[in-house]
Amino acid sequence: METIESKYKIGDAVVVAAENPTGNPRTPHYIRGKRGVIGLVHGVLENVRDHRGIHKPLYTVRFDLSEVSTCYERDSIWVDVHEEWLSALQPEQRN
Amino acid sequence: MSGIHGHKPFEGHMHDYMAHIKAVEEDLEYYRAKRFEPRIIYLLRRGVVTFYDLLKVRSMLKKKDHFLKTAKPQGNNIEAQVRHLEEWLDEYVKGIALVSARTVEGLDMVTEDNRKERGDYDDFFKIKKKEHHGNLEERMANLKQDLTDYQELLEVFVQALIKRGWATRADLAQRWKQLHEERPWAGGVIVAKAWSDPEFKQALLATGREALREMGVHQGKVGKLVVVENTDKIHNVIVCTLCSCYPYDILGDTPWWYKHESYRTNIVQNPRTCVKEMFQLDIPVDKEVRVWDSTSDVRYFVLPERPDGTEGMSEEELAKLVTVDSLIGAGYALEPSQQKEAEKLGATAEAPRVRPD
Repeated sequence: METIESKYKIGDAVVVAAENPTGNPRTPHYIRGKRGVIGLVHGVLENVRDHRGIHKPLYTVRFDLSEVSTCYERDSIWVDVHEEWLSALQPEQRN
Repeated sequence: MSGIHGHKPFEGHMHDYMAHIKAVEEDLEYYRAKRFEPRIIYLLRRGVVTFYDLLKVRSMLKKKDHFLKTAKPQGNNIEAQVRHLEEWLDEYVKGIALVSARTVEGLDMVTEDNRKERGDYDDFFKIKKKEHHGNLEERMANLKQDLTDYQELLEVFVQALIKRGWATRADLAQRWKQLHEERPWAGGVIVAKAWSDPEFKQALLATGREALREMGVHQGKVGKLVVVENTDKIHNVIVCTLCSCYPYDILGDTPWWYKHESYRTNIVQNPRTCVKEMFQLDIPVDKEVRVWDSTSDVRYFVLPERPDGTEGMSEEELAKLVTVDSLIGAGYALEPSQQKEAEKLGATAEAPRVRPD
């Protein structure tokens, strides 16, 4: 099998697509359009029992709790997201 | 570690029968509407089993061929009746495990298709769960009827798989026996080893699956395992907001609330309030709460902090301090005094829970 390189590395700032109809459906709504940071890089995980074919590389993305909810604590939410849902955070998106 | 413990003290006897009954209702509907019936429909759609197979099997079924057996309550008092329903639910859940994907290995089927069809991504496809009403007596009578009905369909389905040649009676009988074997709970064994053996702990945190393979723990179909460590700075909590993913193959079943919508919604919206209200767990302000949402192929569990006063304890003793909740982040591992007290009361490791809504 051809190795697929992971595009992002730990610490990269990313933003989740607001919608992506053809992407892996397992991206929950509450993080769509939200900004996060790559926390873990899993690469391509083969899981033939669970799904057909090979999905894009998988990351665990760290979100500040305040980015995804109305709480202001310094807590965080870590969510598994596939690469096609992510793009690099642009300077103008940083606030 | 803080001295505040998250649970109500373990109780030797049930105090709140209604809470137990509500938990059985929740779990039963979850297993019927999400784990079992979507599976029949999936196989009906593909002609693996047909309605007519089910009808024929039903009319020819003999009691002696049943896999699922209905036990009798151990007494007439209400507590015995409640336990009876809880154990009956366990048997039903084991029956669903009996006809899990492994049974129809020869088929080209994947879990993801089943998730789509059962409505994990679109409520339109969800099978409606039953609502429960009434006083305790009525609810218990209803549950008994539901369990009778649901178990019958499950039994017929098992037999239909055999009749159609997707599984042999001997293989299923073997598996059924395994499902009823008692063995030490892997969660306790793993955590106790990690507390005692720093090298193993490092391996477990770095590459979970490999570390477990070396200690001979069965891992089933867990794709990638990530173990997150609780420290004096970080408190981790696990959830699956899309369905109820969890390393079942390693750790067995979750508490019922793990699959409940209110937990899955609230824990990512307001984690501190959620664990405080649901589990009476007050996380110190100087700790960061990290919630892990297992939305894809990674499965998570928490390595809880080793409680105070456990110096010099053997792994076997330590394993008894590990609760299911502590591996999800909904509680801490027990302190030895709490464990001793629970043992003295003859309490199992499942504290009764407040219904979250």
